[in-house]
Amino acid sequence: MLDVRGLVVTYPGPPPFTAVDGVDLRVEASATTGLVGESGSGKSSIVRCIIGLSRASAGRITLGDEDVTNARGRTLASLRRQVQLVFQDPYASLNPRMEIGQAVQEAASVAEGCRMSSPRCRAAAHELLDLVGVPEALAQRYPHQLSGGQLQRIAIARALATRPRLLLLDEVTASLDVSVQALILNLLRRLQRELDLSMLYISHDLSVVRYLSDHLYVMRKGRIVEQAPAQAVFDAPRHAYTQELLGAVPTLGGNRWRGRRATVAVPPPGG
Amino acid sequence: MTAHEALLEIDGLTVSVAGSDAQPVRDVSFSVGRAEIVGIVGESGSGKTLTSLAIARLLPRNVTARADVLRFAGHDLLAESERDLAGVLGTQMAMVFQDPMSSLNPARRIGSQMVEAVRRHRGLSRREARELAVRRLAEVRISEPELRLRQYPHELSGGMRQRTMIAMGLMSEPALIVADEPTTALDVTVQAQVMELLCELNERQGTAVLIISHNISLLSEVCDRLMVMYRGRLVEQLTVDELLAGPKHPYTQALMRAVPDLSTDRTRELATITDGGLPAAEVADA
Repeated sequence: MLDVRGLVVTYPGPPPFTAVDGVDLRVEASATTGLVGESGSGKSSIVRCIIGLSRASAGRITLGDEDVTNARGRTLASLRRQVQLVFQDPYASLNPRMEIGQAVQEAASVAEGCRMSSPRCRAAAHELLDLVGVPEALAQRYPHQLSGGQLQRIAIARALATRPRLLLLDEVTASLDVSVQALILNLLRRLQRELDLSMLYISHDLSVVRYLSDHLYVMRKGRIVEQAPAQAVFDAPRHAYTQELLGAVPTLGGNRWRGRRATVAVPPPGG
Repeated sequence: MTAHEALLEIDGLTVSVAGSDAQPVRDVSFSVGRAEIVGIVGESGSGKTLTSLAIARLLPRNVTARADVLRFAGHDLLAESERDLAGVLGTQMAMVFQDPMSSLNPARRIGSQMVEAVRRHRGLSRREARELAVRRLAEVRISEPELRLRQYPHELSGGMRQRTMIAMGLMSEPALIVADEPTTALDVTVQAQVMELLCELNERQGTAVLIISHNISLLSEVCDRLMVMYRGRLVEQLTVDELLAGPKHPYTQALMRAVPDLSTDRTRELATITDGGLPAAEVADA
């Protein structure tokens, strides 16, 4: 459904910097596509370009049959109804002086073209909160009164207001506790099933990307170095960089970095 | 002190916040032996960072620690004066934090920051101290160490800054390195280098390491023993073998299942941690 061909993103300098250097990437309908790479590899530049926050210097982005490269005006509006982006830090994308229920109503009012106080808008907001599992009782709270996980749910609810076909998720669990991360990952899987969403999931965490993705792209220094069905990449990585990345992921009970095998004899605790 | 005495010994550590009933750390007891690598795992609010700050006597002013026993390298951290302890803590215990930028002075060159403690505490000459700094940077595999001494922190990459922090801690040959989420802000390949370095120092010089992380898999790879903290309490202490055989405490069990790894079943939901029906990390402010 989303097709990126030969994308180049060069930020003007001085000196000019090419963050994305000829990337081809496809996101299939109703599936999750993973994009992994280390900091500075160009992952975020790609998603920013897809929804028109950064300019493509070369290449072509098509959504369905429509060319949305550097979209403007009506094309941009239509693009942003169909594609929504959720960032790592939900607090930064919410107005600190607006109750979170209002923040969701605001998104619903823009999406539905109705006044924020209208019954239709309230009903839409109620439904969105329900969808992401935020209790109605929290609607009157302000962002600083919620936990990181709850805020990320709100950010997802706002993204869903336009009933998008594609969600771009950029490191959405990177700043969450592991137990909260599990809740958000489960939520994303459920939403994908229930709403028939496509997702482009970006992360530096290979374990999380593996868990969610059907297809996987590995990125380094602005280029895609490997792409294949996710399981294939993890079972038999072909590129040396992918092998290096996978080799660095900590695993339970692994013993890669320890030189000595023997455990040190220790006195009993407290004694 | 005898060979069998623990390097760090803590009994009944409780941390409280002035003007409130809050006790973010409650009755925590553990020890770290010489040359041992011990991990503390927990989520935000578990008290793991405050525990490490209490050990280093770095708690903020409105936060106080009390304990029945708090001994490090034969010194009573509760009884001895700040002044007497400054030398002990400044030379025998090295702290490494998550964000090296917040512990490095951005306006001073790496070299002058590295030599400060050994010049003050060990009375080394300027030249001796600089030679030592070059050796330490080389040991943590930083290229062109002489050049680095003249550079400012912003001129180094994140991984290099963290290795510089470790090199700085090693200047006075510490008996213990306390590392609080030392690789959380780093890429996995750089994380692997930092872990390898800590393990190597431990093996070569017998430096004990107390490493704090939210990542139980990471700790299982490098530690001899693990301590699990949850809401201010130490809920379980176990060896890595015991962890792999299956921990006893339900929180530890849940923590292991909640994190996907490279063998997680992709067709199933992740286990979530519940506490009275609410997710643990959300319950506090729900």
